[in-house]
Amino acid sequence: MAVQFTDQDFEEKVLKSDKPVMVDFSAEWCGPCKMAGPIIDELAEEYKDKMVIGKMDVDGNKTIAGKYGVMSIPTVILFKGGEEVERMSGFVGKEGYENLIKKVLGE
Amino acid sequence: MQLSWLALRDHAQPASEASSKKINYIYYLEKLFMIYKLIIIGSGPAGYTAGIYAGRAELKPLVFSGLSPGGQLMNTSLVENWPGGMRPLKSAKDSTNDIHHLIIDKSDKTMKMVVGIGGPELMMNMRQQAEKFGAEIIDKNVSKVELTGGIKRVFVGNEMFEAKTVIIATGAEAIMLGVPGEKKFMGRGVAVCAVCDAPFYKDKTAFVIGGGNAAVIDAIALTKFAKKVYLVHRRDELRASKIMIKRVIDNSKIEILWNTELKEIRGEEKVEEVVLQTSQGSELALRDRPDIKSGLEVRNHDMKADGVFLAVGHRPVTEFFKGQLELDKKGYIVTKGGRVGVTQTSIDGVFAAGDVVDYNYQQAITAAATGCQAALDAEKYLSNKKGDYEKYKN
Repeated sequence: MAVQFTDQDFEEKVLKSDKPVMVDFSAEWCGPCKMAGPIIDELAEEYKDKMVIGKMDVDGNKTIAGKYGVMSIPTVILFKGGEEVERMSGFVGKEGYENLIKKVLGE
Repeated sequence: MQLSWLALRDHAQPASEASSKKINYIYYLEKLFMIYKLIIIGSGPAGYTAGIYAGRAELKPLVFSGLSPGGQLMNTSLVENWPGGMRPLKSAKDSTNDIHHLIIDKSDKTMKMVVGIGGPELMMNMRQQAEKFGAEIIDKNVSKVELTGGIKRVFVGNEMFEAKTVIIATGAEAIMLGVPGEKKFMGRGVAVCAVCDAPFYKDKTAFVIGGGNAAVIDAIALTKFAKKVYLVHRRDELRASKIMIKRVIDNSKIEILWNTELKEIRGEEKVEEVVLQTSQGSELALRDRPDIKSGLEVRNHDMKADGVFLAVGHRPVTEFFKGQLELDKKGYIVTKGGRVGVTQTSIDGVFAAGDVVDYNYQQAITAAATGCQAALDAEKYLSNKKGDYEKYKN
């Protein structure tokens, strides 16, 4: 299962993480997010040794979504060393997400 | 050894079922060459309904649902016109003004129902229903097809899948305008799913471009959050259903900019301004008289904007069928009707259903209906073809 990030633990768990982190900004009322959810969970499991993959509910965590200018969901942002390195909006399927992860991991 | 190889290639059937089934010559051959009876391309109401019917006809269809399974309804919060689509009122979130409620009286209790079913919910149900009846679903985009010939080939990258029949239900995709700024600000103020992104526009100003049902639904969805919604339409009448037009007119947050086109989207990091062009005088009245231009006064104006939602319409997804299937001028697949059924395309054994064929109705239920027809047509075609099986052997 993917971890849940919040406004409160974002700095600790995402920006200060040793591993690269992928954050899936989503919400309960968004259809494409519902399709992405289980795939994000799968990827979190498959890449758990190399990357932290988690979700952020934009309903309860408006500060971080606002700070990073997320205006469309689902949006995934990948962080490395506390910096944004990649971003993608819209549901892109497992392959799409995996390509992004591999790009950041340099695989 | 051959059997284990077969088991590896056998996507279509659980091992237990395969071993319990008597492996006759034909069955063996089919597995050896992995020739599906039916491949369905698309996963909107047409594709999934075809999957349900074909599954129940034991055709074990393979469905390519694409990278965005569920089709256009995945972007719709509530489908109010799906017959029988109702559910009990659950949370406070349901009680918005534009949801129709119904009180059902049963002998022992009353129940408040939401008239309508969530788009994603409806599509997930259809998908599970198709899977339940034996459809195999792969969430990948088809990259190429070879439809001529007795065996049809469908490619996903380097992988090849073969089938005796194919149902095309690829539907339609949103048309982009191609104006400056549209691509640059996608996801940063430019959006195609108002239902998904409306909450980001709380107390902001949003523009919806278009004049059909989709545009009207988007505008209404946005008013729950935005302080002002402009509906930008290039004609002077809406092409939406009466009930939706009434809701737009009655909504004080929506202002309709008639005879107006979007020309440019501007901003630094995100959308800040739109450039609009309004034609004074009725474009509608003049559109059939290209010789008269003088009545038309064109005026450009800039307006502050936070969001631009594109809902100008859809075009059929038929790019990779060009040169193989007969398409009409606008790119829709032409169906022939005739002996094998109404969904028959210009190629034997290839059927088409849903919005990829239909430029006229474009409803979830008409798409589902033609998906059903296509599955029945494919089934009939396959049963007529049984005598030809020998020629597929090699």
